[in-house]
Amino acid sequence: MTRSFSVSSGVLALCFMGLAALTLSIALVFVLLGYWLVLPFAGLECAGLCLAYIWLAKQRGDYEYIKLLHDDIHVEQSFSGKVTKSSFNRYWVQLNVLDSGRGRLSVFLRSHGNQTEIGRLLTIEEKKQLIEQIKNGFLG
Amino acid sequence: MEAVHDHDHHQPAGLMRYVTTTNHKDIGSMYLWFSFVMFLMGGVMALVIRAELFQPGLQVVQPEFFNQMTTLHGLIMVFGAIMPAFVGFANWQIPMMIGAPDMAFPRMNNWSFWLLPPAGILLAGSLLAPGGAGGVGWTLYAPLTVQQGMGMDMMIFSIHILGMSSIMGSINIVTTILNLRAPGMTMMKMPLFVWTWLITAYLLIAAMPVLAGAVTMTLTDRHFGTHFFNAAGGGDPVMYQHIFWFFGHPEVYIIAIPAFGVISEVIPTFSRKPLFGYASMVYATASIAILSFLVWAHHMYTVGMPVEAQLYYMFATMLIAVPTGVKVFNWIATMWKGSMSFETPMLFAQGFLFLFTIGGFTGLVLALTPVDIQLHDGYYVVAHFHYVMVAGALFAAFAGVYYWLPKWIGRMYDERLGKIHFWLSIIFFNVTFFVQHFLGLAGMPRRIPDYALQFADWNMVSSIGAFGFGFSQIFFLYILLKAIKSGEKAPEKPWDGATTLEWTHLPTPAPYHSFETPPNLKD
Repeated sequence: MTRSFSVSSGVLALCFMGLAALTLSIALVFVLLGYWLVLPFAGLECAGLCLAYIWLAKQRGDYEYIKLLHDDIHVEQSFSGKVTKSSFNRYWVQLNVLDSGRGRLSVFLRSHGNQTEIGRLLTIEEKKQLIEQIKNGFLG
Repeated sequence: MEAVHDHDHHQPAGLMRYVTTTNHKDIGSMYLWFSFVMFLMGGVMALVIRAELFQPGLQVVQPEFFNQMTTLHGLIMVFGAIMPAFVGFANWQIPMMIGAPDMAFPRMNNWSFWLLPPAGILLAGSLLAPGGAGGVGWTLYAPLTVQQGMGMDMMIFSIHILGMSSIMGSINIVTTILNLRAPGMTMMKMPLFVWTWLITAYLLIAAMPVLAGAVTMTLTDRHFGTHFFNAAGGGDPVMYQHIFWFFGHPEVYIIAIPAFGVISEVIPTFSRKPLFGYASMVYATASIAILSFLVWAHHMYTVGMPVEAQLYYMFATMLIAVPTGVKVFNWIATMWKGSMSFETPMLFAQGFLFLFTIGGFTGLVLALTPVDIQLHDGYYVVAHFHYVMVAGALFAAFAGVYYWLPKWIGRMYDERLGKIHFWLSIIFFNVTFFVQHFLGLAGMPRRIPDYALQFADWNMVSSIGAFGFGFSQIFFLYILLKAIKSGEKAPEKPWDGATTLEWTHLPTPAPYHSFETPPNLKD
């Protein structure tokens, strides 16, 4: 399971560099004329845009991998570059579904005091399919 | 309608729905209502101005208050009404038109909107400050700004907040369009409204820091002993004008370009033909955006500049007529041999086309340096930019509201009343502003509460038109409320010529959550 993106990291970086170059060069012209107070605002704006794009770039590598190996359900997740792995015995694991009623549906695997949310990259319909798949194919 | 997964979603209710919402449709609606409230507020200020100008002499308000009204009217209409209106359209339409579930940064989107009410309150509240609001004109020229009371600081702070909101909105729009398009929705397949907003967002990102810098320097000149714009301290007040207009001219296009986008959706729909010259429309819009950064000093021919600079700015400004002409040609060519019908959105689009072209032509007249030196700071200029801003941006916004209202609320507006609104608007608009060309040519200066007797007749006509135009917009509010409360149920696709995703892939009204699974448009 991965996220959907319609533009590559390279293109996004190019867009940012183009915008930052334009904004900062405008500000630099004003700085050279002595009107330096334009520069901090241009810098702030570029920083904001940069943060937004870094946030997106970090999400680009997000994935979730669920597999059944022998009697264990293995879950490997990577969100914003942080990889976590957990495994649950298929005979002991509980599947919990939390429907907030506000357009949000959360799916958890829970066992022996450990809990992992799965399907975070899926739409609600896909989450429902995932729940069915786990109920019918994974649980003991 | 496989793009919809709304059957078991519960829409949050109550006031907190709007405070905490990250839904692009809720936020779009809030932008649109906020802009309408500000539009009425700015409109009332315009009526104060026109009431005072109904006859020569001082009858209604004091000159200081008149100046505050002209200043606030301009700022509120530009930053509080027109810009947020088109951001409202962007919020509602962009995700639905590109097959995205929402904006790229929904929480930032919420924040972008909720910055606006405090900014609006600061702007309008500056009237209550000791000495009243700044009476300096929307351009906030130095050194007059240094001599104002505390209301000026409130206005500066308000502009900062509005600028922050615009920047965050732009970052969101750029990222959404670049990153969240459905598979198959390539850049050159995007609806033109989406293209125009992508270009506008870039313009905002490039222009806004300049305005923020300009008003901050004004603030430090006022309170922190700097002399950026104070000639006595080695500063340069004319430089303020350069800096302001470096922002101000692109600002004109920040307002106009999304309006072009709306018109480019409405005209093909009601002509039942694809937009003529799609690629040339995209390139023309981008050219206008680039040129808008290169012509700012045509607003300041009278400050004294070398003749070479005057020539450059004159020719560069006239150059903008080329891509603008391409757009007008393409809109007309789209209608050529089309199966046209004239529902209210199309009427407003025609009104836009006709009047915006007049505004464009008077712009060409003002681009000519020797002519502009005669007409500078006069009513010809006032007439010109109202043809661009009101007949251009506002009429396009009306076209957009009538066009997309069925999709937004699932009900139809009253077509007969919509047409009456159009005819009232276009007639009273021309009664108000066409005659101002005559006043300007006869030499009447702008931003004055009293005038010489020879200007009396046309001013009276203009004031009558202004009150008629103002009341026509109350009628618009009635049409909206009637549609929301008791409008006929809208059919799935009320406009048979509509081809964009929100009409072809989503039901009417659009569900609270749409395109959670992106549509595949590769075929």
